[in-house]
Amino acid sequence: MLAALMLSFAATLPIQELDARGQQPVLLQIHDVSDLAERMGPEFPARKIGTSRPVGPKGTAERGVPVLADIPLLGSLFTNSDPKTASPEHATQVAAGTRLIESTVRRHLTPQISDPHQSIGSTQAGSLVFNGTRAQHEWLKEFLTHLRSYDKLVEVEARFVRVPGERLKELGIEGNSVFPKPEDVPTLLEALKQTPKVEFMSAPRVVVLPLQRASISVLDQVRYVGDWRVETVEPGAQEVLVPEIEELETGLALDVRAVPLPGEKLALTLEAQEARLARPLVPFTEKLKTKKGEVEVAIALPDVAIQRVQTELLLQDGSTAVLVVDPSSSKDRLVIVVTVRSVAAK
Amino acid sequence: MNRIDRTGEFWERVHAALDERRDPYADPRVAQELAERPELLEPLAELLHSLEALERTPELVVQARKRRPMARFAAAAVVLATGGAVGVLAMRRERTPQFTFEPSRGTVLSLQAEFVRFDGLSWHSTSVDMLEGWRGNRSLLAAPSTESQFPSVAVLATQSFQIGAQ
Repeated sequence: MLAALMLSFAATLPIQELDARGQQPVLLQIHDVSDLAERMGPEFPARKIGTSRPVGPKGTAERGVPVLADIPLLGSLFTNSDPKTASPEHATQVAAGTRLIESTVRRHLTPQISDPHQSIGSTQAGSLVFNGTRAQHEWLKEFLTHLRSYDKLVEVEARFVRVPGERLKELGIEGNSVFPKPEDVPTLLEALKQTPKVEFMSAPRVVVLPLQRASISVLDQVRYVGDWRVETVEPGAQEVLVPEIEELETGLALDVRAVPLPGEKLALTLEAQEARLARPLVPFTEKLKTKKGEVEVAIALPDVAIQRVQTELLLQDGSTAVLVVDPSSSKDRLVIVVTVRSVAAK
Repeated sequence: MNRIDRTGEFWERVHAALDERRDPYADPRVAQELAERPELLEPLAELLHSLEALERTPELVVQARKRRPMARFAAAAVVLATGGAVGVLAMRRERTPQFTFEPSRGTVLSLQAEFVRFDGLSWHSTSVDMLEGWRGNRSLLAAPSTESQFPSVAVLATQSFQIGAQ
């Protein structure tokens, strides 16, 4: 309670004011952003596709560790009178959300932090602690006000295209670029479609709430015999051959988060993964030693090509970025056409 | 209508025309599609060529003779359509797409990519940072056991070098 009182007091008054070496005075202010941090929604681990994992007995892989707070009678020991705001999950969410807001401000603050006296930090409880000039404080105030009043959704569309390098030059695209006019994008896509040897791989589209992370994946699960082992079992201490089955996920996964900024801008964090499996799997035989001699077993190992792209973009609402990635292993370029626009929530 | 639907309709019309002993090139939809998408000319020509081979078999000689005027007409249509398609292609090649784009300065704040190839026994990974201008390659040999493929690998080679920053 006392800490909260101190925080609220500190938030109203500039505590520190420096004017060293003729620089602009630096003010300290604390902003409670726990309401925004709550909007982030629960965090979840990023999905990694294209890697194999062993498949255990049915149900063991999915079964989670029991949560003590979920057990009747014991639950009251782990929850208080307001379980919504006092649960460990909520505290974790607020802390993670506050860190996200802190990193967003650090990235997009205008004017940017340029002085050792200027700093930004956050607390686990959802407070943003900022030392900055008056202009920076004004931007931060506008950013937080904008975020709180933002009532739209954000639509993100990412098209993945494989283009021969020389064709890109013909189209005039030699590096990352931005299409400020939405009407130019269909012209670009049509030009790409008409270009020989251009492969449109996928075009996932998601609509997300601001600040919330969204993940979309279209996957194939492939199981294959990755190895064999000999097990000795009763009765009679006989040997049996047991296949070790592994599972592989191929397809496309897209992970996005959008944060609206003042000036009709959208900060976008995007991670895309694509895993392709060469079909059919080519089996080969191996010899397994048993008491009765060698036994031939068949194994199939996957041939997988994975590409992962991570990017941070700052785009004007409605604009499109064209990202060009050179994998160097081939003459083709991976072109990602990302369009971001706000849409009205129904 | 998207391209796949249009392609399906194109071949349906071609086969319908052939089934009815009509010239597929006389179908206005087929002709229009060929003018717009000259890449369909080659498979269509192959199809007609294979049908010609059928016509040369003794059983079909009479029918082929009967249809010779149509074949001539078809050949003329092929020449016309090919000429038209070449013209359309030439026009397309000359036409530069009209769109305006700006350099991405200040827009793309970070861009990293990783390309991985796993052939069942070894991993080959290339990491690229397109803005910082570095690239790294790693080759990893999978351990003999398949209990855990990626964590239990032996590094065969690691190298990195600079690429030109944008």
